[in-house]
Amino acid sequence: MSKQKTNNIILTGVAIAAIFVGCSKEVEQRSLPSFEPVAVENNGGSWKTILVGNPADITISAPEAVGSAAYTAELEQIADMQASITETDKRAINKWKNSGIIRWNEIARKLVSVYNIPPEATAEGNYPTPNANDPGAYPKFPFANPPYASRAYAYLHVAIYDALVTTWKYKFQYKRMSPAAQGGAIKALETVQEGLPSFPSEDAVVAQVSYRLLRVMFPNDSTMLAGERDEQKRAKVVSGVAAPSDIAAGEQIANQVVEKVLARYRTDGMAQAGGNPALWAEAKQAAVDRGLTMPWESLEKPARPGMLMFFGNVKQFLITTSQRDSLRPPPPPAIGSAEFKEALAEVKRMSEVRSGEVWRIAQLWGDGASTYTPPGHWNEIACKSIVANKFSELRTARTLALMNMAIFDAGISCWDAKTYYFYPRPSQVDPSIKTIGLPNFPSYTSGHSTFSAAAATVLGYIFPAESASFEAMALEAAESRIYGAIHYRFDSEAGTDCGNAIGSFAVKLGQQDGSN
Amino acid sequence: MIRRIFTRVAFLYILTGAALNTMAQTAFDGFTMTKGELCIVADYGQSKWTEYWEGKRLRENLNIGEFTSKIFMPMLGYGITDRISVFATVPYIHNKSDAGYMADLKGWQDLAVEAKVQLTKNRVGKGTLLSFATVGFSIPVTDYIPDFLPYSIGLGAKTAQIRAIGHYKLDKGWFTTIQTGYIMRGKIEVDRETYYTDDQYYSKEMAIPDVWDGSVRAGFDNRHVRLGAQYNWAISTSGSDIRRNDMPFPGNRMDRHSVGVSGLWWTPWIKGLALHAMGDQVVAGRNIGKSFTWMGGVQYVFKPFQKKKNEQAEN
Repeated sequence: MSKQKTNNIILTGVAIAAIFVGCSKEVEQRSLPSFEPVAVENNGGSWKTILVGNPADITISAPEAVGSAAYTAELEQIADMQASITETDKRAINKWKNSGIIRWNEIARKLVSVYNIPPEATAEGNYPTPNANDPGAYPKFPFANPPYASRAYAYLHVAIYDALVTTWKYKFQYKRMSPAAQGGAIKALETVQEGLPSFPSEDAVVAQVSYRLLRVMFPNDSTMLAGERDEQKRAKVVSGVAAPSDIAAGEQIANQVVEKVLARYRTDGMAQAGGNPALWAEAKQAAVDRGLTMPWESLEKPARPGMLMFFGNVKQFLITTSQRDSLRPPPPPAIGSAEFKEALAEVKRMSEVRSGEVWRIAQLWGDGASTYTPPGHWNEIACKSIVANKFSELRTARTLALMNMAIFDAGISCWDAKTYYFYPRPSQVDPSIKTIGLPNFPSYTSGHSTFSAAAATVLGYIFPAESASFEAMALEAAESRIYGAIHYRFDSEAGTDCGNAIGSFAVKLGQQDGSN
Repeated sequence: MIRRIFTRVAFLYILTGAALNTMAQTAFDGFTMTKGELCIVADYGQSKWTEYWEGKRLRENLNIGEFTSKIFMPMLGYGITDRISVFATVPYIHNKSDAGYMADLKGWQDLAVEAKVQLTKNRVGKGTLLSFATVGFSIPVTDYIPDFLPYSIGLGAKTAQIRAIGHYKLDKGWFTTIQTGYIMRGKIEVDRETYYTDDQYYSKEMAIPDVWDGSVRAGFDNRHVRLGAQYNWAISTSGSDIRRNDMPFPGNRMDRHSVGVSGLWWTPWIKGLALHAMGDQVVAGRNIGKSFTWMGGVQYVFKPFQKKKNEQAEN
């Protein structure tokens, strides 16, 4: 064979190989399609708020009339901005043209993923706790585990919802339309929803509420958050959707609502959720006194304190403490009983399946460290349906508020059961059971199952056509924990029941909030 | 001729399980096969680590303890002509650790095929200078799980690579080899639909970094033995670091520097039968385990399809 021929063969081989492998490192991501909301929701100002009470208690200054000197000056300012529009502006308009709430929900999900890593033990074998007063030091504040995340999503969306109800009240009180709808020189650089007044700007409300709450929840990222907020506000002015005074009125509403929401956020008991060694021992002893023969132990090395063992005492949105107690799942089977042995044997069987659907489902719903957590997973599911149904920004806010309150309350009830029963994980009883990654808190009941059932119940109410599919997803998520060999079937079943019950409280609230 | 065949020094990526490198210093050494020669290899080895680099930080993890990778590796080589030979291997790997509660994983990994072409051969001084190029690919042979590192037996990516090899051997037996290659690796699909690395990705796809690797080797080779010492490197051209106390991920930037020794001994009992062994210590790295690997095995070289012609030493 000649040199030339050999060289040709090599080159051809390289080319074929490159095609075979695929050269691109670009990951194809799913994204939500663009949509225009259908409804204006002109009675939105009368929907029932969650925390702020009567929207009229939140006050803003009345807008300048269309045709006033002040408003005309604003229009001229917008016209100038449009005349000198930059590529950055165009990108920002495109980024924020769909639901701003969903964008902020995505930002929150990403922050949860960033901060959802358990702290590393020190050389002395202790586990340092993130410190909100020194958030940048290791371990960075917060550790955004599932309870923390469920709470963050809930407060964020409750605040956005209450602020938007207030916004809708003033929108239809003052009925000042957007700059682009004034018939002047200002173009609409994105679709302006017909019939929806722009004073106060719902985008400014969403941006300001999200910024102010998320910077409390994720203090290291306040600069990034301020950048997102400013970008959204500017995009709406440049695109002709909102005048600067529309934005300012939105900020006024947002700031007042945030104060009320933060007052609750700071006093809901989360600060005490970690507990201390004396309280942990007390809770364990209480479970033993009730007949538990093998209390939960951390299987990590060095032993790590259980995750937020008193999260179950945090104040819920939908139910009272006595309702929580009456909804607490019944006691799990006694360790060593026939029922227990059967459940343990199932876990052992599943632990040996490391392929196919069992493994795929365990991973798909794993949502462990470094992810947006199961509550985040359900937020993504909800946003997909919101877009498919072209919800207004107000109805989007309501949907995410109802669902996230249910998820948060479900998490609290689940953690209450976990600490109350102090039940060991399957691997503690049978150390030969290997897992997809063992969570560091008691087994009964399953958090995934409780979160998922609560979310699916609420979503099934809001999107009835998809209710069977939400239920199937929630059951798959519950099942996934048995597949992953970290939960007994009775953990998942009790969690699903409790989650469904708590979800129904959110449904009841939704049925009575005046939005139907 | 039997002495002009290759040695076996396998080295593995332990956190990555990149199968192609199991063939390093096989297809990638400076020794050739003659037309019609078939080489059958069976190797077994273990790789262990208790420390790994999380990004650039070397640490231990009491919830992993000692990590062990057991490898069985059959391989075939065949001389198509005196200048062109092909190699194929499929390793079986079992990864587990002695602490913690993470599932161990095992199975057949990737089929790797390499074609090696001798480009030049010249007398230089009191020796012979040879140059080669190789082209190869690899593809998973089972649907093993790539997204469960460090227990995953491989990254699940299809790969393709090209490589250049220079080899100089003195007539007295001393030799040196330098080789370097570029490995393109395709995207993979995982069971998760959303993940965070350096950003949040809403995708089942993961991008796997390409790798630039190579080795420098020196040793002695005669009709009875071949002994060598070498330095190996493998550097990812993209990818993210494992975040503090996070799990590793297939798209991590995995770099590896190791030193190793290897030996091959032709048995006097059966013509064409050799025993070989190697040891390899990772000395520096990024997002991989600081592993020590040993492997040992047998190889048998013969011409199954034709009558032996008179042999003639060329090396």
